[in-house]
Amino acid sequence: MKNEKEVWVERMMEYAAKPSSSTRSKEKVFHTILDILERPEGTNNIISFSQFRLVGIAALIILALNIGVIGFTIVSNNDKAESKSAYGLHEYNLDLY
Amino acid sequence: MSDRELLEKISAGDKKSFGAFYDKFQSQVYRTAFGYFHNNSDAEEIVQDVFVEVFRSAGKFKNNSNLSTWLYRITVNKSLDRIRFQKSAKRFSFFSAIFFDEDNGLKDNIPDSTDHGIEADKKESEKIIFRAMDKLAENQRTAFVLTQVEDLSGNEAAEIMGTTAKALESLIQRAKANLRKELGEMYNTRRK
Repeated sequence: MKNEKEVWVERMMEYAAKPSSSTRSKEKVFHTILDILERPEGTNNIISFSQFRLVGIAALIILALNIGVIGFTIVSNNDKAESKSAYGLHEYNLDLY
Repeated sequence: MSDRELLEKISAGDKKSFGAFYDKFQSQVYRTAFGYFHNNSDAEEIVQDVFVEVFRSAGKFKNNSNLSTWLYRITVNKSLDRIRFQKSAKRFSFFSAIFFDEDNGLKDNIPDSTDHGIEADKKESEKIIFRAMDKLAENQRTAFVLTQVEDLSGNEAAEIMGTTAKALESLIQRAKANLRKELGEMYNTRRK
């Protein structure tokens, strides 16, 4: 005899196999299709998965480059600051002597 | 007029024949798409995508192929494309939420119900099923939709998926086992 959980799971499996669907806006969908077909090819706003992935990869590359440039700028500014203070120290020593 | 004759006229740009073709096959495409997404909005988008593809590719249909199989293949491919797109979009929305406005996240695909009684119970069940099916591997999900939702024979479904009947049977068994396991875990979570 099945327990409550098994009965519930089997009921959900039946729903999965026979989802209740309705084509409420069949005509509206058809008109949308005709509108899409009337636009010149290549200008519709349905993008494919591969186009979306390409844009995502390009965005990540640009972000990585920006982080790289910012990091390089910070490091090179630090180097310049250190060399400035070293120069100052030499001058100080010269003054002493 | 036969389906092939309709398709020939569609390839010549005949919108009236296209309308007749749409009337005949719209519910098949819609049902299959609904089997993947369990909501009207996504299923209707798939119907649009499929019939736009049919209109543009009608001239490329090979006469020795089965029209129904061709249509199912387009529907399955469009549905899987959309699922991959939605999963990528969800990952990207998480990423962009870290750096940008928190409202930049994408809308959850699970249908929202404000109905009561039997309708609410049905919609709640569909939410649960959608979550469980969302976790299936693509080929298992396709095998399940084609054979259990569309009631296609093993041979027909195997031809659509480009596999053997034996491999398809294995996919169906794994899909059912994984669904049962996922639903069982959801049951346990709900009871807590």
